[in-house]
Amino acid sequence: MPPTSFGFILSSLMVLVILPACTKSCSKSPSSEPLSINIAVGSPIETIDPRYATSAVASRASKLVYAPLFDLGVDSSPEPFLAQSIESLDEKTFKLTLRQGLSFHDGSKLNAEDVVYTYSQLGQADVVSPHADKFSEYIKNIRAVGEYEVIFELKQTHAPFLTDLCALGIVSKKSCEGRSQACRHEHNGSGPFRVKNWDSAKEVLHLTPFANWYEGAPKNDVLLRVVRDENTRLLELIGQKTDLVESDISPQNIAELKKHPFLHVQEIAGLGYTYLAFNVRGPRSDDPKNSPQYLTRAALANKKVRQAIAHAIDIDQIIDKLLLGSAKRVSGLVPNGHWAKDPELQAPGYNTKIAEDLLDEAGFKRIGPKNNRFNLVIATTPNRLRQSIAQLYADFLARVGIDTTVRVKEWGALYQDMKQGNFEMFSAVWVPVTEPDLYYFVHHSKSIPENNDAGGNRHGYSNPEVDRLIEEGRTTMAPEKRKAIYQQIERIMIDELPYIPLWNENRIIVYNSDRLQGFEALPSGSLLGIRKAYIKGSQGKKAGS
Amino acid sequence: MSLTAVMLGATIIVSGSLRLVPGDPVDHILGDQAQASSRLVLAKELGLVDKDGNTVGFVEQYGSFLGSLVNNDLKSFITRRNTLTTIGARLPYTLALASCAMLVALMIGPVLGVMASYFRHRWPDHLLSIFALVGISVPSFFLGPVLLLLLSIKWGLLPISGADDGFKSLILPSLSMGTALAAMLARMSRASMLEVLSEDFIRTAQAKGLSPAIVFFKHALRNALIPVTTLIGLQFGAVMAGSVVTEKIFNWPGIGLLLLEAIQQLDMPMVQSCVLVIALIYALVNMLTDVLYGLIDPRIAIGGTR
Repeated sequence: MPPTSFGFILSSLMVLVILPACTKSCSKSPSSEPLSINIAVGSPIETIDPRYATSAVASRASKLVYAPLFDLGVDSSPEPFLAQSIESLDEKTFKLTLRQGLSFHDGSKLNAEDVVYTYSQLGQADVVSPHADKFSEYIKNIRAVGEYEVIFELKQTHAPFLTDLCALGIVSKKSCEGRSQACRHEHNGSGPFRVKNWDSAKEVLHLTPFANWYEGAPKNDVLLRVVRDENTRLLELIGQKTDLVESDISPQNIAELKKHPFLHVQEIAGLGYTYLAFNVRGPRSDDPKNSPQYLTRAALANKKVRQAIAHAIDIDQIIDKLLLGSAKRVSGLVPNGHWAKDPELQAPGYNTKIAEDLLDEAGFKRIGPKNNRFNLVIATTPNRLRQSIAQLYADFLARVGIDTTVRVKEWGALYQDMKQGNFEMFSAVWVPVTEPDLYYFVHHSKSIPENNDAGGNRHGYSNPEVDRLIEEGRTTMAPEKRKAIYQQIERIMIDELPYIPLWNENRIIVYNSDRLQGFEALPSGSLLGIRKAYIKGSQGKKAGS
Repeated sequence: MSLTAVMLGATIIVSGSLRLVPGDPVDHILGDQAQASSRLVLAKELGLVDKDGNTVGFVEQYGSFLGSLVNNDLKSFITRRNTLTTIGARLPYTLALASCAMLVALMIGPVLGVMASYFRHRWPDHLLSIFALVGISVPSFFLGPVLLLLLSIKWGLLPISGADDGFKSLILPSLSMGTALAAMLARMSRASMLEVLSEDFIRTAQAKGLSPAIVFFKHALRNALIPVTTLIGLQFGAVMAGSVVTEKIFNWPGIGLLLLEAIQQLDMPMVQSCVLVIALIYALVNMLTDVLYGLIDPRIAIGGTR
């Protein structure tokens, strides 16, 4: 058979393969829906059912469809959302009153029974929500006492209770009772938007305004599109294919974005807490004495060594040169500007003399042919920026005689090491820090993984005084007393330094101001501000189709 | 039979390897703060532990995978959606991208390779060698954004990303992927042609008085296509599974990224399903390659006898 026939067959096969995809993809593109607000997010939305959403992007998307009882306001304090009010009957009992006239997207009424169902069924075998344990730890009983009133009885006083109510959207008891797994894909929510379509292949979540939303229906459809590559998000903003990117832009790209007058680039103080953690457990029983591992673990268990390391690293230079000023130095887990923050508290400053003196005082003098004190390994993820920062830490520490190696590990492997205490030092982020009660999960001795499989105290820190203060903080309701407690904790932590507090990274929000009007970014990262935004010129026109 | 063996073998190897990767899918789903009791309930639901809380062995878990596959009931650990449905929604896009990339490669590579052999040791040959070197050396994560900047942003000719604009959406990703393939095919075609042109039968054809064009295109080219066809078959499979970078840059909804993220999240059912589908396509492409051998050169019979 001649090559022409061979070529014909090959071409025919290719057309047969390509044609279905081209046909399939000839659906409406975001650019062909000019009245929709296009938002690009950097990672997949695995679910929007609030009972199962754990990632930041899934939680943000979830709130647009499933509204919570409360939401965090501009100052990170809880504000009523679906709830109308909440009254404290005593320190362990709260009566919540729902707004009247609320409904789900299928038209059924939203009432107290739905709130009771949402919170009380989280731990059931057919639900198994990741949020179950958080609430079951302190909620004793929930019951409806009227069509719109719910009583929450707590096992003990729990000050973060209201903030916790911001996390979970309300689901319909009628839709989900007894069929939880089926209803998680049906999206019968209570929020300002309802799901019009979810194209799981192209990863586009198309939301349309909910006509019966109590504040008045939003004006435009919203398209949440997953765009993993940051350069592509950048180009989509510049090419006006995307209207809004929230928190998924690096500081290095700000200058380029500002060249385009139609793009509004905003930096707001973030609530993420970036830190350097030490493994403070000390040498293991099986570490041979005088071995390098023994020496390193003994060093990290010494407070003076940790203080020396804090003084040895020029954090301000890292913020300036690598983060391009898009972060602010922080003195502890509580973010800058938070109601519980002590604005006078300062993190250790860069001073190599103090660092060297502290290391000598601690007994780790420079010795040997390399003239160093001990070896250290910093673990980090493959993220290029984090690797660069880790390398800088290593360079700074080398100047004070600590021979540091940067070890890059895939997140899954690193996380396993963190949980098992199999590390010396690592840097990570807690995000967002809206409630200082996070101290319990991060620094309380009951949260050490050896004591509690679910604990976040991977560095093995234990201080009875800090434990006592943390417990007091979570059971004290009076705001001023709580503030004083957490400020005292922070003063102890800045001295003991199981973590070196690094910075709160700014959140960078970019939107097309020629198109998008009325958008207000929230420090918590919530996308609920989009319900009040609109596409210029679209008022009075029907959105989407 | 061999097709089934390939698919089973691939999934067994990948499933076994995934069990060695550190991490726990339950951690990815439940996050940091879940208690041991919740972890156990979920682990049972996912089939990772038995009713007594003991870790399920590899053989039992693989058997469960096959059973769920037969019943079309295999669900992703993360999304709890049917894996084959998810893959099925994305497969046309992956096939389209792979096919278009191969089309770009075929339209450019063999043509340039043959031309280079025709003009060997002269300036077109040198120029084409440079193209081949640059094409192989320039990575797609560089070429892709450059093409986007020029063709989409600066000149506004093509869509920036996604798969929403029909055939136009395919052009840039195909160019980005196809360029390196074209360079490889150009080099292979040139080398293959030069080898065939030195054969005795070519000298015989020339001695018979046949025109240079007929000698070159009818006799030499057809024989030179065999190794090129082998490369095309192998590259198609590689493009199917290895288009992660292109999918990410152009936001193309293919299964490459789906597989990568499933591995990162230890989503075993999704990984197994993706590998199964890719292995099937690889095997089918290899079968097609064997058929094409027979079309190109009738002396090559399937079964290996004259």
